[in-house]
Amino acid sequence: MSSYREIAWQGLWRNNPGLVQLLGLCPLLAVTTTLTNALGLGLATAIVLVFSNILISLVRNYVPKEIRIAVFVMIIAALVTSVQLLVNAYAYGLYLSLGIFLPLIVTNCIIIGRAEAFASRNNPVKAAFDGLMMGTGFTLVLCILGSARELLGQGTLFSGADQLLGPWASSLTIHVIHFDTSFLLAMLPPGAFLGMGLLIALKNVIDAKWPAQQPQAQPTDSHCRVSPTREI
Amino acid sequence: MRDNAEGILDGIEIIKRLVKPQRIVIAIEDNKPEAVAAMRQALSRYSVLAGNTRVTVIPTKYPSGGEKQLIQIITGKEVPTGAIPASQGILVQNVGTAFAIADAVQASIPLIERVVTVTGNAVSKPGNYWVPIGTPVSHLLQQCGFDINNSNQVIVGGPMMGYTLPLLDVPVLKGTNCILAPAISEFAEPAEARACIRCGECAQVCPAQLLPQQLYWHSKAEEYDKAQAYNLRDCIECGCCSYVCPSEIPLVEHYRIAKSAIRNQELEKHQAEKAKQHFEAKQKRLEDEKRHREERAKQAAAQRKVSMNAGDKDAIAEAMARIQAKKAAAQAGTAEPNAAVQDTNKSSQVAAAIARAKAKKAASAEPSAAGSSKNDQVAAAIARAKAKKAAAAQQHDLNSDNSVTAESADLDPKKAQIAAAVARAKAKKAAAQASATVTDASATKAPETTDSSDDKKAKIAAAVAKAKAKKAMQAQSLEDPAPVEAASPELDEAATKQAKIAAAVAKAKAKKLAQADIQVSQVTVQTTEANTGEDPEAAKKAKIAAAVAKAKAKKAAKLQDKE
Amino acid sequence: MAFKVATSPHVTHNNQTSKVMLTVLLCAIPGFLAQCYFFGWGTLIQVLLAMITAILCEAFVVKLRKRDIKATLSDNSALLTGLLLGVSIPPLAPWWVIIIGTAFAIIMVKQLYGGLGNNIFNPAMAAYVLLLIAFPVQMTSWVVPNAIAQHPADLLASLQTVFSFGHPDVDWYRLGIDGSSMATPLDTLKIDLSMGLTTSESLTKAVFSSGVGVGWVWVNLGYLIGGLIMLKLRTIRWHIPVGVIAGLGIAATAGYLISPDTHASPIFHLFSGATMLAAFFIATDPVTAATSNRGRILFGVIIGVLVYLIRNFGGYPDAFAFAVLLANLCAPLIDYYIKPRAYGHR
Repeated sequence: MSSYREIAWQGLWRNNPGLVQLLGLCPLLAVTTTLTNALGLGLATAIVLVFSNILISLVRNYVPKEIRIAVFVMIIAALVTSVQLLVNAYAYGLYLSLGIFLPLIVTNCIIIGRAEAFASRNNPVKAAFDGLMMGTGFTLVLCILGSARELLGQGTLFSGADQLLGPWASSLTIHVIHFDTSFLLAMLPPGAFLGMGLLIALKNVIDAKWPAQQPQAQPTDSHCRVSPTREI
Repeated sequence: MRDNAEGILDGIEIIKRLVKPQRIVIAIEDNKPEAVAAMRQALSRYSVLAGNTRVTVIPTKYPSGGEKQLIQIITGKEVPTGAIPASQGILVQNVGTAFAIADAVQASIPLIERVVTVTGNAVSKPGNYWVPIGTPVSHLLQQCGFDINNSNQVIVGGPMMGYTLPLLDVPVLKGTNCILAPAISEFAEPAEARACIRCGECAQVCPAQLLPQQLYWHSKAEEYDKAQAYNLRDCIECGCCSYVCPSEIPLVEHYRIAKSAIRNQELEKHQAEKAKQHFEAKQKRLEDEKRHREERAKQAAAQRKVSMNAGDKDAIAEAMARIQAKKAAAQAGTAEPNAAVQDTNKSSQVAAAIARAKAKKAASAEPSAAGSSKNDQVAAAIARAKAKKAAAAQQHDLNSDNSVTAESADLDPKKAQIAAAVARAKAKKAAAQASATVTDASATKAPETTDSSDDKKAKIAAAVAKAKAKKAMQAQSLEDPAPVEAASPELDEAATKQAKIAAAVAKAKAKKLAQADIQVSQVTVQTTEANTGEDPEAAKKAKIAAAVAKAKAKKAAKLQDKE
Repeated sequence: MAFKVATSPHVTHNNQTSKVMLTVLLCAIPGFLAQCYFFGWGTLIQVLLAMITAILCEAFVVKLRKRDIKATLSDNSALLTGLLLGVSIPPLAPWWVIIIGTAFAIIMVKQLYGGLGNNIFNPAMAAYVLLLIAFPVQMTSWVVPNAIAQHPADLLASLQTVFSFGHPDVDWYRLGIDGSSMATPLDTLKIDLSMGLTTSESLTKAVFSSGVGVGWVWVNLGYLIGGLIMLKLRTIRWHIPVGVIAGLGIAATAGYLISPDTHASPIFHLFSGATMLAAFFIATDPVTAATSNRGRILFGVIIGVLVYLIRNFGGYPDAFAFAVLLANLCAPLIDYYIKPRAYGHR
């Protein structure tokens, strides 16, 4: 029903899962203590989102409406288990630092929400793209919050990156600020809440000041169509 | 109280005689010690009252002058919400009222003056004055030395509950207790309201023990049901809450707005309720009428059914009457069109009369609109057509002096047969069409109610139609006023056209009218046949109608000539 | 001539919010002076820093909200918040601690909720909790009372420490006469109790004198006097302070009677820490407290009991901030269920 550009815009900005839909706040607040953790979980979520969207889109015409949620969750759970095993195998440090939040991706409302709202109504290609955009949007928010918290709490960026990206990444760590006293609050959940609130406020300010920047959706009801309409 | 203690006590005694209370308490605030002394002294000398009356001194605390608060102070009882003190057996009156009562009863003086306190820094002679009711406030102030340049506000009442006057050309009323004329700088400018800091001082001072804060929140948010839940209607608008508010919020203002909004809402609701009741009553009335009409129609139909099924020979008689009429109309139609049917002129007359009578009975039995079943309408139409034909037959009989059948010699029997057959067909078609038109007419007219003007119009129109039909017949066309086909060669074109027009007009009129048509047509048929004597009025009407018809026919003829 | 039309009442009690706040500020002076006397110049510096930050933050937010700055600032509520926060934190805490705290209090806790009258939580206390969690080390480094300090801090030294451009850091000033760094009386008692000492043994330490903390008892007395003056002036009403003191006193008495060795006496509880300050100045903040009289007594009792519980069983020595915030949460519920009976209703 919408162009790829529209899907991208929705996923990244207008309907961002973390800042607008406010979905998936639990991992968002809990694992964004460092940028690496945030990036890791964001990527895991994005992968699960893309593949779950594809799979659900493929089976959308065969699943009875009454049991669709159960079927979706089963698909998502299978995918999350796969991802978890992969992370366990190839990025064990990350697996340890993410802890319970990796399997908890199953309960992340973004995935089931997009499955219900988009993947079950569109073809696999579009669904995949939507999943990719939503996942990217979510990951971006995670990364911004994670870097902010890491900066304020530890004064570094990318600390522990070798857990995600491999041993070469340990040189990626940047020590930005040297604190005698770190702002402990930033590392704790209250700080995450405050940080997220400020991010949402920032997004609202930008939205208020840049109305022309957002692409308008195609007005479909502004004139009569004489030709037969496309399937919506 | 200091000057007229006796008078006040007289008034109290009168009230006592009327009300017969157990106890009388005169409450005076403690900032008036001289008044207390004066009243006590007067009371001690007043033996009638001294027994159960006493003067009590209460603390000077606003608003102890309010009736409910005073009752609470003196007796400790509270007046239940929504009730008046009389329900608790308590009566509260002003000393001014008591004095006025004494005056009225003893000296026959009505309430023509009252004590008004004039105060404020803008008047040079403040004090309590006896003021005739109706005195302009400007005059009163002037007498008290009002300095208009030093004043920008005049308040009727006290500083807490008084209302401001926009101009001074107003009279002193019987409720004007005080005129307050502050100097320009005497009262502070009302400051801008700040945010409520929820200090709760308003609740501390409210004499009605309400929660002004909650009332404020809900009044401001226009949540009037919640405000009422917090007992907004118990607010006496004394102004204590606004007085103490640190944020200078005009609380009483909000409550007044809320109260008036609630009052408006209730008024609207009340009006909506009444409108709904009216509407429902009207619906019920219309339904009742409809039902009534339907019942009567059913009854009439039943009756007609009964009368219709009462014998086949009536049908035969009607058919014969039809034939006779046709025969008679077809140029002194003498030949017997139907060889099988042998009947005399007399029998045809009799049959016609019977048919007429039946039609009349059917019509009278069904005075209301023929909104009933189709059968009834068909029967009515048939009866109508029969009656018309009978009328025509009768007319021709009359005209041809009852020797129609004998004059059939000049007609070619075959042609007469053909003409008769055609006439029969036409009659059938006319009957069907008339019934159809009547069905239409009745269908459209079923919900309408007939009124007298319609009746009259119907009568006239029917008469016109009748007259036209007659004229057409007289113009030697086929007697059937229904759509005429130019089948018989001996008719001239003009006559045919006239007949057609008349027929069309008649059809249109039949379409417009309903049951009145039947009845009226029957009536007019009767009267036209009788011609004179039977019903002078109807005959007159018929004559008028005939004249109208003639005029119309003339016009129609002119039109035709133009064409 | 056109006359001014207005609605009644036409007079008001000359007791605006700004006057109320000013009265509270002035009545806090006795306790504040006591605190300065016992704990040094740092108190004054912190309070001044807090007040200035509060005014600036409030002006900033009010400007963002496009409202009248002068009108908003003139109600003195920002000054009061600054004062209360300034006296609550250790005198020699670094300058950025108080600034972050005050900014949070004014901007987030007060203005973001709608400004004066609309905040749910007490701004000073919410900021105190934020600081306590964010900077636990700095927030628990109270100086030793001057009377028993090894190195009492003078003005210059205080300034240097607070603004971190001098040599001595806070720990220097925490050294008692005997050379060991000392904590607050409440802290000391708590640690000792957890180490197995009895109260009487703990009370023999230098930080205590005759059963109460040195200096702290005078501070509390100062705030008590200020509170009584406010009661006399009808600036506050008695229900909340009596509720707090009664709650704490009764709970402490009960604990003391049950087990005097492991629970401090009521007098100790009532005259140490921020008891009197909180009872008269913090808990009585009208915006965040309950509104009806009975509700206010209940509100105060909740605070008192919670303070006792947190002091004895909780992880933080001074509990008033948490207790006040928790009671703020209860205030709407208290208001919902406790409504005074109106005239004429049964």
